[in-house]
Amino acid sequence: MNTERLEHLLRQYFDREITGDEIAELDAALHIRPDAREHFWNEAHIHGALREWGLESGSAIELRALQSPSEATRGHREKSPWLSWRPRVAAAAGVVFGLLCASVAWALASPRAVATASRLFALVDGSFEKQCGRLPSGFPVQFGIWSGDESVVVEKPSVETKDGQRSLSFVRAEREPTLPNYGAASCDVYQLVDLRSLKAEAALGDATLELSVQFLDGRESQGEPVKFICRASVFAGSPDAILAEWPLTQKESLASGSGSFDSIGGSPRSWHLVTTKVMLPPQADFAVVHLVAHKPKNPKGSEAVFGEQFADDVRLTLKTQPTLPVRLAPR
Amino acid sequence: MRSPNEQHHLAQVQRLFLDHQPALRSYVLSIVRDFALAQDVVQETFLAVTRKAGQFDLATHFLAWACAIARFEALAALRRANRPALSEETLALLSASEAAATPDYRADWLSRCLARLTPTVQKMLRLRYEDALKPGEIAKLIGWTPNAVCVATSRARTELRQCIEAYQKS
Repeated sequence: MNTERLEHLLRQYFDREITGDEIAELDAALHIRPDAREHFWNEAHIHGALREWGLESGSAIELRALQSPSEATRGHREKSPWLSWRPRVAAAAGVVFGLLCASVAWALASPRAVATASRLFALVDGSFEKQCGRLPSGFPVQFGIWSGDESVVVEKPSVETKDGQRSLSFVRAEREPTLPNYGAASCDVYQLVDLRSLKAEAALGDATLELSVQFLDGRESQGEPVKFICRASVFAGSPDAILAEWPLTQKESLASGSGSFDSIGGSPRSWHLVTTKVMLPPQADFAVVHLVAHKPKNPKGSEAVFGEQFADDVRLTLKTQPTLPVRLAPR
Repeated sequence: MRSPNEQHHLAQVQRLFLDHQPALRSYVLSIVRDFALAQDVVQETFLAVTRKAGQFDLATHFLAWACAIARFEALAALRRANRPALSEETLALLSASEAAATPDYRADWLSRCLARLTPTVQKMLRLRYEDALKPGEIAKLIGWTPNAVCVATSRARTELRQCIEAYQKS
């Protein structure tokens, strides 16, 4: 294999365009040729550096959008051992983690092989069958109610629902009352979930919550990028303590995790499953389930308009796991 | 429940994980190539590291230990997603290579080198690495062919690497 062919295969590999035959060819070259391995790492390192740069750029924008100027320059307060991880990671990585950033470092994961996994019925109406029409406005003031920015529960014949007859349609981003001078690029919908009945599981130390959401970008043609995000954050105490100053109080969470996917619309229009996991500390009393449609390129100062972005089949699952063996391959 | 000593040890291991997270994320990305999947794998690795923290000797090489766990998690994730992967043997060989060591790619060098690229190429890199779009999606947005996007971004990466290496030598 000449250098040109190797470069082509590496390009296909890192762009995720490589075929099964090509990856076998690349594998063979990497196996026997030290120079090919060096070439591989040259590509891998610059890819990694560019992704860190991309994360930093994206999350810095999101952080600025959500924080007051004084908060943005002051940084995060360290309120708990969970929270304290974030600034240290930022310092180590040179990365500013956005409050909506998909790569929140202290989000925790659970393995696929779990001892128990039970769907939490504390999350109410995850398939949007019970509420219809416009959702209540603003951050929720009680458990079990979806509310947030302008959004509606619709029965839309042109969009096949994922679960049941209805789904949630994101309509318009609204400015945060606590940050009136900022524009609005995200349409946020929330539900508060009471976790107090799970204290026994949480006390075992290895319990996690898994949030899964189906998202759909219903645009027939391609257009402005939209990021769909699902986020789960767990808090101690009463929701009243975070309600007034939301979203600034988001940083009071004990732990948090988020998942996302990016879309520019166009066919094929299909539902996309997004999941995230968060460890459940023993002191957790409630969770905030947060669904977002976000326009990263929304003009500064304006409110983003949606209408063809949907969410459905929201599930919250409690998982507890045994200690699993991790196989270590020789280095 | 963990004893205070175990909790202290766990906190130290988790701190090491966070300190090495950029290198780990880059390593995972070299295996799975998909940004979202890489994020999931890093999270899976964090939990595995947390579970296995008791087995780690703080006097040994944390990154090597964590990368071995991350490799296992990454391959498992690719299998679950039914996506093509390099073989475990080849990945082990790659990890043992001297070139695997994370180079000194300082953020300010990268920023300065990026500024030298044309605005179109900078836009492509933003769409690729910030918005996580695939070359085919970028091609539709900017009116190029997917192959042209692949070639242009590949050339840009080579230019960036050479530019950063020039900073390293200076």
